[in-house]
Amino acid sequence: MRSHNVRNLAIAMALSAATAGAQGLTPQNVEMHGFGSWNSGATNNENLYLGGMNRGSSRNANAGFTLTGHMDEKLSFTTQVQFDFTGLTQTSLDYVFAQYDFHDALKLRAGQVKQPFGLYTETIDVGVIRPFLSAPQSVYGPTANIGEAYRGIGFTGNVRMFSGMSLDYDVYGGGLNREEYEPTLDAYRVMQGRRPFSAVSDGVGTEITDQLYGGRVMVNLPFDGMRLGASGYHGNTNEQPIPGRGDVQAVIYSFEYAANRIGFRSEALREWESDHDRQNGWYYEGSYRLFGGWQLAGLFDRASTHLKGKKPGCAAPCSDRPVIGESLLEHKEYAAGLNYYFSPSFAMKASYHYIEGNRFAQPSRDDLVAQLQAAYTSGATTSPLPKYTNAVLLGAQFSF
Amino acid sequence: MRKILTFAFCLAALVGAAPAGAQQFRVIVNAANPTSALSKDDLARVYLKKMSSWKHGQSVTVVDLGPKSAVRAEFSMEVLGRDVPTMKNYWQQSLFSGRGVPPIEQPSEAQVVAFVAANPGAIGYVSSSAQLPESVKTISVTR
Repeated sequence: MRSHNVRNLAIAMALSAATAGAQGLTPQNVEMHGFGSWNSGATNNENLYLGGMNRGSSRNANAGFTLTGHMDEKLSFTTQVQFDFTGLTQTSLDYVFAQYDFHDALKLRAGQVKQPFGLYTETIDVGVIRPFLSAPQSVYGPTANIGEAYRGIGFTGNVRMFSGMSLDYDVYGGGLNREEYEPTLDAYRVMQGRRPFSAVSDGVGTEITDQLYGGRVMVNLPFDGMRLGASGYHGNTNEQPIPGRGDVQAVIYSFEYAANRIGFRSEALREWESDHDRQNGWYYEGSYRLFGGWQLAGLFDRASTHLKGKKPGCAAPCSDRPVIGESLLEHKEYAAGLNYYFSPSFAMKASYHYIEGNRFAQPSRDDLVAQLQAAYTSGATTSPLPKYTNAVLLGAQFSF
Repeated sequence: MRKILTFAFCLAALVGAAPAGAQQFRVIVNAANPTSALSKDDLARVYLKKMSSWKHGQSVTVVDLGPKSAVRAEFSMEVLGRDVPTMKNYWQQSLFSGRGVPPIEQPSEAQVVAFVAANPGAIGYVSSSAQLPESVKTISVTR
């Protein structure tokens, strides 16, 4: 989604300006909101996790602006632009879409629209509304499970049910960009003899998914603040020009209870890519608001990845499940957090994370490759990577 | 997953079991609005912006008191079942997912009354003791 230039920003601003100028939007029917986040982190070994590194890091910061213009009671336009200050400043156009409300139960959306997938995808960049600095990695990590925004057309609405319940739904179709940072899977494939070490990726890649269709249903249960639902999508990455290859699909089941002092969320995800892997992720995340603005938070997060076996005909040391790479596919995390909310719109957050596995906690790409290459060529039978990681994060998040 | 649901239902039942006191607010609409009563469920849907028009077809404009108002705190718990900080969080989720903006906030009851008086589709709430002009009327909230 990152554009690496300011072109998208210019497009968004131009669209906003054109809309305002041509259709008569006034300051009274345009709303601007924004959000920001900064965090610092440290780990107890060479593994990096959520921006934390061995000697500490304060590189992670982002901010964004959302503009919503109401043309009339039925028609509105929404744009969100985001700036990522990690390293070189990058600008991205998160979404820009038009919405026409036929009825509360039927609203049309077209453009680049936030992907309705699970509980956090639509607000993944707005940290202040969740108990931890980052959303659970098993579902929302850099593994291309989510797309952030779809390009196309969709329908959404709310339908009243029985016994005080209601249903929120979304259906959509079009295309999707899914971001991924996957040096660990690439390294694992090296162990399987499927690719050379030089092919281990460095940096965030984008997987373009077309022929997309998907949806989400969330049932608002009779208990205020409690909802239960499922989301899913299917698309094609066009990585393989063979029918049936390159298909991707994901489904997630979600539960949320957020009322007064208590917040509890749990989700279970499965994602398939027909030509290579399958990912499973699930988590429990809870929070409790204490006196004043203090809040306690806890998280259990688990992910596992399954890749197809070694390259056919590949001789030893290739293996279906290379021992020295096993930790690259696994993630188990326990985390505890303490937050202070100056207001619902501004929070300071501190958290401790204990991580098993190297799926998301791993050395930098070059260190990863160097260590695995040395172990691989020497015929080592144990992983050279630190499997257990302790991380401490501290940050601030706000919105307005 | 079954264990999570059982735990959560019990939690919600405990939280929701607190006895309600006498209602300290009243719901007001413009005097020209033919509506005379709303169910509590409809009122909640209106304040969650899931019901955007009155039965006679006019669009609803929702107005809230400021976040530190004791009347808002009571209204939020009684009608929406959630306290004001939880509702703030709800609206931030809605806002940043592009699904809707929170109700307009007015800093005082007098301004809520003036807003409702000036907007035929508006709905608001004020304390039971608030003085109302003829251009604004109270509607009853049924179970």
